[in-house]
Amino acid sequence: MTPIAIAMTVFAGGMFFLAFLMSSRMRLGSLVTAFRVQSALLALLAIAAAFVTGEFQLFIVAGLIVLIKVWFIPSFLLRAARVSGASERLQSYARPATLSFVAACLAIVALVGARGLLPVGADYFVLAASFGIVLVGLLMLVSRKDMFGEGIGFFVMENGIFTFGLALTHGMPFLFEIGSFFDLLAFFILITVFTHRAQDENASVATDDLRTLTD
Amino acid sequence: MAISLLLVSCLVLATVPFFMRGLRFIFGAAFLASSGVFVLSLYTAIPLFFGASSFENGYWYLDTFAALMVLLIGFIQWTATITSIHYLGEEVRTGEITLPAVRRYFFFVGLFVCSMLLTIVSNNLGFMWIALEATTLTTTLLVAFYAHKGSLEAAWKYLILCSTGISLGLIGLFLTYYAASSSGLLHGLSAISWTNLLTVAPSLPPHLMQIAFVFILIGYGTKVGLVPMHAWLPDAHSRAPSPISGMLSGILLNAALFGILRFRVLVDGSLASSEWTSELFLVFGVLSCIIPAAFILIQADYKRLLAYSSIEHMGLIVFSAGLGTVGAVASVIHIVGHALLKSALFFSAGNILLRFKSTKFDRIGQVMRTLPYTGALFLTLILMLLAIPPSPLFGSELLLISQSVVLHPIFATIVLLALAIIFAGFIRLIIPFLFSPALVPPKSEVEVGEKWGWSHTAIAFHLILLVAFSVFLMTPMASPILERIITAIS
Amino acid sequence: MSSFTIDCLFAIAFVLPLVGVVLSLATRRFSWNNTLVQSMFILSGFAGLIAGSYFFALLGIGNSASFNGTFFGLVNIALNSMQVFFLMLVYGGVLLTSLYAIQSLPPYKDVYVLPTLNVASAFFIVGMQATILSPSLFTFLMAWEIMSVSAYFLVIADRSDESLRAGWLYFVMTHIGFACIAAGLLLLAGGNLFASWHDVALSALGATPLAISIAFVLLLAGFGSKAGLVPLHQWLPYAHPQAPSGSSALLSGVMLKVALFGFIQGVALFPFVPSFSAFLVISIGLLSAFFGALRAAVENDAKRVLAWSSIENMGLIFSAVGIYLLVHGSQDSAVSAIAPSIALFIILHTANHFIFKTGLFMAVGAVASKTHTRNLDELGGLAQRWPIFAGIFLALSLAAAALPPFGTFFGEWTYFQTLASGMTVSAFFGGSFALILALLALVGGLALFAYVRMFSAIFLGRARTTHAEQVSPMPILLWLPSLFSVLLSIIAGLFLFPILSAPNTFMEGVTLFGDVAILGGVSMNAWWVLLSVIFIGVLLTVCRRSFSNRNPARITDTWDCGQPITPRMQYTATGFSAPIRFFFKSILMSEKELIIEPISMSNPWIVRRRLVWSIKSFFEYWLYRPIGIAVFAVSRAVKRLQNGVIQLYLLLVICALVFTLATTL
Repeated sequence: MTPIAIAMTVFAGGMFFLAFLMSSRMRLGSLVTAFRVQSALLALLAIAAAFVTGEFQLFIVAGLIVLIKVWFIPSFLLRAARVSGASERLQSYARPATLSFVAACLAIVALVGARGLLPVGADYFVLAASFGIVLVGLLMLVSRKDMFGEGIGFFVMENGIFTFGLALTHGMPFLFEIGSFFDLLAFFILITVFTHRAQDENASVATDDLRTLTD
Repeated sequence: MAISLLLVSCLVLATVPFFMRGLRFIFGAAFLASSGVFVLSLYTAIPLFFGASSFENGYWYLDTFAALMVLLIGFIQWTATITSIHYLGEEVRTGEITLPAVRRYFFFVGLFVCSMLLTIVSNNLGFMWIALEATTLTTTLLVAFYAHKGSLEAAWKYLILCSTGISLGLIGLFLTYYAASSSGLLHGLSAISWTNLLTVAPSLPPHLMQIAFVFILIGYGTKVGLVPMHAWLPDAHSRAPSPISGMLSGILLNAALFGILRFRVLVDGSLASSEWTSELFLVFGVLSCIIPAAFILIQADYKRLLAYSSIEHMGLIVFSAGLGTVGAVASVIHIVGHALLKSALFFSAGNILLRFKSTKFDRIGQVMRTLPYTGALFLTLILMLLAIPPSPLFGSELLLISQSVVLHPIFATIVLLALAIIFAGFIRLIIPFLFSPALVPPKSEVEVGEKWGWSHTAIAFHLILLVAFSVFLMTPMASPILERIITAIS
Repeated sequence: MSSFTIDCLFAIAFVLPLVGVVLSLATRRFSWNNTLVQSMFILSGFAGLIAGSYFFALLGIGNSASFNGTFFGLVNIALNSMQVFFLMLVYGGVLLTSLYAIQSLPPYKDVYVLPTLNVASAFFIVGMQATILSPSLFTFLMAWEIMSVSAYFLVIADRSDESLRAGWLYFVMTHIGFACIAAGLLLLAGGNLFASWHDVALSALGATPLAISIAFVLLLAGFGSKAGLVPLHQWLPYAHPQAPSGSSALLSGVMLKVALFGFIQGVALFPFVPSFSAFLVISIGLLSAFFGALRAAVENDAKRVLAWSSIENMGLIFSAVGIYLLVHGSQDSAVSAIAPSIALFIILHTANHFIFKTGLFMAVGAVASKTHTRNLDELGGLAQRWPIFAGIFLALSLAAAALPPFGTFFGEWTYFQTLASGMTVSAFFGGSFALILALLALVGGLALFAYVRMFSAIFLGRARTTHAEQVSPMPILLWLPSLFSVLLSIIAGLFLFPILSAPNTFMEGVTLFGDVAILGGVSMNAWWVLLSVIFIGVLLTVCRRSFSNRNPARITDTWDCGQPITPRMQYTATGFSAPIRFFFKSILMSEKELIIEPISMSNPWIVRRRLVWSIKSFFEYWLYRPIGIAVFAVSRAVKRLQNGVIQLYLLLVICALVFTLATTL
């Protein structure tokens, strides 16, 4: 395997490891930090892919990733949490240990699943890692009991999907990437708006308070 | 060019109200912009029904089916704006909302319509994805428009669920791109161009396309409201302001379905038969019919009732789409009929909500006496929703039954059972709602009597169009147009 | 009279009610609005009757008579005599009930919104005509729906809680029935929605036996539910009393016949009927007849008595249809020779039931309109106030009970005689026909009981409550249509029966579905019967006059044990039916409850006693209630899915994804 391929494998593996850690972290600050590092690794992955394919635009994409996912989203998320007065302590449906265990199982599922798509090689590991990150992101979405946790779960899933795109296609058309970044930004803005409003209205961001609309 | 104009005019709708001071000017500007959108959609779409060939370039693709959807979007956003003017005017008058809120409302509506149109006319599947996600984002704040308890909750669930769904759809999109580019057929931007993909479809690896389609179906299907991904729909569609609910139920669900149908054509081309996709459609369609039946039978809230009915009708449309060519005709008729009906129903529900200030059946009664015009319109619309002639849904449901009874009798029985339960539920809830006194007397005196307003005109437009559509379907002119629409989706 | 005129008249009869819709809405502020619209309906009925009569005069009454109508060049419809026969029933019913409605509806103008009620009636009339006239599957289904929906609006016309509940049950059941009919017919047609009847019959030739059986059961369920066959009859006793009287008459007298027509037309499409079909239809028919007669004998609401009686009569007709299915097309010529006479009975009884049921509903409606009650226990003594009307009602009750000289007698006699002579054909037939005859005897007896009870409760004795005491004279148009019904019934007996039963006319190569030779003529001369009845009547009167006590009657107080006798102490309808209730206690599930409440705390001997008795509806208790409870229970269980927890919703999405992927890979 070429050095670039090894690098990509390491970056992807690192991303998945961080996702695995994030699945059981219950403090907003540590979650956000892990997300930052994960996004940084994603940017590095994009740069590596740029070297592999020789497409210049992937550098721009990497830059955007750093700008938006490493700096903008995490900082403003923390800021929003602080300003709205939400609790740093996050809740989940299961104990952290259980969540870690499930995440480990998901890793195995991801490895098996990716096998069905690609033969063993550099791309395969990246693909498996991306599957794993997506699955862990979904796990976070399902297991977290507050809005911040769910939001971060979604972003992790997005990271995973992005990695998936990188692994499979070495970058999608540029315009599409830009557009999806805009979508992500808008999504983030909405998350902050809602967490703020939730804290205002219900004095908490726990989803337990969002259970009134039943039949 | 017309298409670009169309999209720009939506942005005009979005931004012009910000330049207006005074409610009347805001409304006037919004109405003009919205009418502009409507006229442009007519200009864009009508030629395609009368012989013009499909319009195609790198970014846009407009065939007869897309033209139909553009037409629906154009018309319903226009009547929704008319109803919004009436509705928001009332709310400003009673002090529920403020002037800046009205401006924000039209801002998001403009963006919403723009993104929906983008979904329909995009040739580039990536742009279609972006536009579909944009529809979720632009409508979330509309769902959360009021400061009521429950609005936030509905909007949050809507945001998270739909965005998660669309992200799953993105996986499907990536897989499609991978299928096209890894087999060396297409590269770069052209690999997610639908027309290009269509030409190379038979050579695309089938198994990969199947997996991609599953992601697309589940992902975009969350936005369509197929069971079991439907759970956000009753909350979001019932908490949003009524004109918005009308647009969400009437056209947004169809736009998402449009995306699924586009992918379906590709997968069918790759598999060289529509059997597999039809099976999926049948299963999800049946599920989406029978589950809402349980919720409709014992429902306490009339806007939620209409929302569950939307889920059921989407189920019927998807079910018909799995029944071959005749089924495709049925689903097209059903799409048009349901869009016009459900939006009009939500508009009427808005009038009822304005008067009674409650969405619960318990607290409302004798709507016919209190709001004669709205009540009569509401009753007619409900009857047409229940597929009573001269509703177009009568024809489409009979076509559905005719195909499914012969091809899939067990599914047909389940669907008929679901339809029967839903019918029973509707009559059980709506007729006393219209004619009997309320079970729980309202807190304050409810004013009796109403004047014919703009919203009634808009709803009447819908009714006239529905009847005209039914009549049109029975004339010989209908079959060539229907044929052209069907070739676009199969 | 050319066929063009017939064509025009039918078209006029179809279009006039629609004109009535426009007029009704346009003139709704005027007081003569109702009269105008009803006149439109009357004209429509007249046009149709004339068209039908000319049809039969011109083309004869055989099955080979057919006529291609074009309705002013718009559509191409082929009419055969079966269709024209049922159309005549529709037109006759419309004529009578609209005449009645001119004076019966205005007193209710605060209860019903008359213009919209008349719009619903118009669509109902058009729907019934269109159902019979429909040349293709799609138009039939559309017309059927229009008919059913307008009937719904007739049922909920007074918007009371009871009407809304009755309407709900009716609407749901008719919709389910519609689904069954559509599914059954589409199964036969092989999925072709726009097939003409001819095409449907052709594609039915290629259907599998399983499909044929399922289609038959579906058609029986759908049409039978509309016709009031047990166990899908539950809507009928609730819905028919709630509609305005003229509309009830149409619902009971005509709509049930349209359902019968639909069934016959549907079965005619089958290449062969499944082997169990005849027995199924016969047993359901007899069960309905028995159940209907039984409930008619114990109900207290006059209109509900008539509704149950409709169920009984439709049951009789369907049992005959079942026997027809059994014997028709049999290889044995002795067996298949029974068929024409059964067909004769079906036609006769359909016409006769229509005549007397329409008349009875209008008469009961007139009583209810004047006394403001339908409860038999509250009426009485009306024969003294309205002697002529009582005579009309008596005649109609005798017609309903199938006594000479009314037409119903001849129809039922045909049935009994055919069954009796059919018993000799084989041992199997002997046994089953004997059983059927026994059941028919029971049904006939119960029906007679029910009508005697109803007549005497309303008209004989003294008024039981003030409702029935102060009544004003009845407007002429309230009793005139019922008088017409009586005359029609007698005419049916005198003329229709011999025309249809004489060899070489109707029965010439004619049955309901095909061609069979004739059974040796059914023997009865209607004129002899009429003359005998008149003669016996005269004889009895003369004998009574000459041999009875010469002493003048002495008017004095009745022996009353020193206690003043009130009319309330008369024999009531409830009391009259007590033996029946007792005998059939397990079916009627009647309950008597004596509630004793002390009035004052200090003296427990002073009590208030209340007797509450009720009968439960058998099928409602054992069939409908459990189904309803089950459906609602399942719904409540499914509703728990929407518990508000977003994580569950996400989990559902993920499960859907995993499951679908698993089935794909």
